Amino acid sequence: MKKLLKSITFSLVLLLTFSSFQLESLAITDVENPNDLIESDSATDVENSSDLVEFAASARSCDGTFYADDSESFVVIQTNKTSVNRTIQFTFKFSTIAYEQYSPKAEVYASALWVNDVHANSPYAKHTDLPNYFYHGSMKAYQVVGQNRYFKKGDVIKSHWRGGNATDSKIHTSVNFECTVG
Amino acid sequence: MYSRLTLRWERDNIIFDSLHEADVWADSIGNEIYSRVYDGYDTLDYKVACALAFRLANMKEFKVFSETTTENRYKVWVVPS
Repeated sequence: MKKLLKSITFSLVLLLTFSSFQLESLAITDVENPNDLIESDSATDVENSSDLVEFAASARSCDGTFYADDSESFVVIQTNKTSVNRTIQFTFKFSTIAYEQYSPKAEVYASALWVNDVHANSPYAKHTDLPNYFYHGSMKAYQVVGQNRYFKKGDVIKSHWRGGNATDSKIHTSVNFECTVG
Repeated sequence: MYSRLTLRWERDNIIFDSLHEADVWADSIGNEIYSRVYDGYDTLDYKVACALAFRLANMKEFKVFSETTTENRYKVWVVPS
């Protein structure tokens, strides 16, 4: 009887040890082989990483300041939400530290506009003024191939703005931004 | 080739006190014409018409036209150059 009990206890201990080892090794496999995760179904969506990146970038609301990579300029965007059709107000500014570079006259224009990935006409023609000028305007409608469209909540706006020295085309700065209309 | 009937017009009756105010207004009208939201502007304010014509003439993309109507309104419009 004693022998029997001993052998049962031993086999139980053996079983428990083995199963815990198996669990542990499974857990380690999960962590150590991230490739397994990538091959799973959920990873198929991740393959389109540009979608994720776009989503992350467009999560930024069209109310705020967007800086140039060189920090020489920025664009301030504000959305007027008092009606269903939104009005987008924009201002392009040179940074104070860059005034000297863009003196005596600067040129600013919006080189491109996309709304929900559809190309629209530029909302801002080339303006020539002092570098400390507030280059500003507003859009209540935008134009896509002969048709006026209006901004709605959830629209994703992408735009490229360029500022330069009016007398030296080599000196320039640009702001590219993407935002979602709130 | 560009009939005035096919042009899209924006019409306003606002009259500004100063040329500066009129010019700021004309700047925003110019942006909307530049983005082809409409082709012409019809105003009671001569200052706006002058400032707008000046701003549009700066844009290489357009030929600019102007007209005074018999009702003393001022029209400025563009066609592609």
